[in-house]
Amino acid sequence: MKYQSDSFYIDKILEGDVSAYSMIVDRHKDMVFTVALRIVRNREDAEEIAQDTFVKVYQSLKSFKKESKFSTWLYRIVYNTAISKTRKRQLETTDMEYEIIENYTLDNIKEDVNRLEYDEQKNLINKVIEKLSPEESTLINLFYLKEYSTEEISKIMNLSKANVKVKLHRIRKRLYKEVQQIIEYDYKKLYK
Amino acid sequence: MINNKNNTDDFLKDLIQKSDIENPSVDFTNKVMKEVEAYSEKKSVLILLIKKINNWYYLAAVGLLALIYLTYYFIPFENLSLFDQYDPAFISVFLKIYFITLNSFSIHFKYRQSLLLLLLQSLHFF
Repeated sequence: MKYQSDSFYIDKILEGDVSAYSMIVDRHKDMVFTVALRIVRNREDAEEIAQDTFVKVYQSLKSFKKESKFSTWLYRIVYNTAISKTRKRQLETTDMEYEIIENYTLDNIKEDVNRLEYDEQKNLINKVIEKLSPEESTLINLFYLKEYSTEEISKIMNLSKANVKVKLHRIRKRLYKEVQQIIEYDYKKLYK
Repeated sequence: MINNKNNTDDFLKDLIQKSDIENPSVDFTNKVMKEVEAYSEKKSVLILLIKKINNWYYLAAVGLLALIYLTYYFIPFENLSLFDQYDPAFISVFLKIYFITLNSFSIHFKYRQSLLLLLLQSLHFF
């Protein structure tokens, strides 16, 4: 089937073809669900948020101005919905339990990670992402998985561009620290 | 320095891309589409209802005009003092009624012309 852009389906929906919306849902559901899940950390809630988001988006499709990408607008809605739900429940983010290990260089970390099997690396990064705050995990998802620019991220998360850059810098540092600590405490112990 | 930063970022990007993209339940799209279809059905019923209400206003206006016309039709001309006292100022009064009816009931454009014709016909009668 020929690939069509989001705006092609949006035009069809606005002309009255409701079924065209299923193409939009299918295309974005995984990322919308992932963003929601990383924030609320509960599959049922994340599914409800993702569903609400798609219904909300459909209802206000007429107001979508094609100035930015449709996905930017969609992720902004899911992010805001999930964050407001999280604030209501006052979810606590996990604090770092590990101590910082001194004399550990970036190359050491890379070396250790590269020594792990693919599945181990996958588990490792999933564990690290779980430790991040909802805002941090959304940021790295959008930046590294969706490869969005800092400008697009700033629109989605309602932050200034400079703020996105500062946060990304801090998250990178934190990611390394978390990776290093998990390797040290979980994997190295196993291999000793 | 920049090269080192890029290497670092590539390493992180490569690692993060190994993380899971989660999937919602299998019938997720169906669930969303059910809600969306229910919403759009509700919306179209509402639009139809508004249109129908407009049509009823139109019919009521036509009925009223017909009633006025018939009332005058059955009154003998010799008893009608109005005919002797014909004043062109009546036209502006009729046009006022016409515009007030349009604005109050938001009558659709295609009905406006026929309503105007009816009014002019009743004017012609006078």
